[in-house]
Amino acid sequence: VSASDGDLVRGARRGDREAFGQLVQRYQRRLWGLVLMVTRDPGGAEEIAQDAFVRAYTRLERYDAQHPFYPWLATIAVRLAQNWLRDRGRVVRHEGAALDGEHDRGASAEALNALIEDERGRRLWRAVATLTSGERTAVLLYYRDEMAVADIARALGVTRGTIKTLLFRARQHLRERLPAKGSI
Amino acid sequence: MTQLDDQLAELPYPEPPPELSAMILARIARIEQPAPAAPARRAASGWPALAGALGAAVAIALLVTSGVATVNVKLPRLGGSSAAPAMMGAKMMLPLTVSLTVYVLALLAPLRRRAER
Repeated sequence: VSASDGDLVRGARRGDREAFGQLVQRYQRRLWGLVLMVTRDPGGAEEIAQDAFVRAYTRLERYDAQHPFYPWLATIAVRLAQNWLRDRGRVVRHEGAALDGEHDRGASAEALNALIEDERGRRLWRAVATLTSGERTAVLLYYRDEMAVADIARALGVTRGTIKTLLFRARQHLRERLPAKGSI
Repeated sequence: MTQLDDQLAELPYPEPPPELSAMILARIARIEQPAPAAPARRAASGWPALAGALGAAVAIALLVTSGVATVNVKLPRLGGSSAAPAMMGAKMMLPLTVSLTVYVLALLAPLRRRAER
């Protein structure tokens, strides 16, 4: 039986690096996918994923064990990714414009293609990659990582209404781009 | 759940770089390594400064209260006598010697530590 996140966090807080290593193993793929999609830059995603785990480790005392671990970790990663995008002048304007930056479509499509093996998955990723950074982040956190709207709003530093708008727009955009399920 | 929702829930997870977890754990190890060493070094470097300051302060206080400083510095210029040390009682000599010794030891402590290394 594998240890729960809570047990591993307690171990890591006591200085058990192996316990934290298990958390890294458990969530690295999920987190990597998230930051890769937000940044669409494998190099940047690797840097951010590393920073997010290191930051989580150094701030474990702040984590409230009453809540699941991944949303907390994802929040750290998303904020780092937003800073990364902002530093490079790629998107992210808050409220009002609601993280609705320019569509810099297909910037790293080739890099993403190399990372996803099956064609169906590739099409899906390619379609999501055409969304704005805010829409991409909201879609990944909501659909793939099954985070609540309130948690996503906290992670992105916006209101719940903004997240709902981002998801609505993303769905609209994706409906135009994605063929019906049976045909993919 | 619409068809689109189903599709999005199935977004695949790409494989992370193979060295990702190793890099993370190495960075964490690097962060932790200097942490225990730093307070020890700080503690070690802290005592000579404190002892030196204390020794110097006691020595100066003794010299000032005994009046030796003014006598020794000013009198010879005026062709004064060499009787100044005699003004300092034997009682003063012991604490003065101890405090000056502490001061000198503290001054030399960094050199000694370097030599030990």
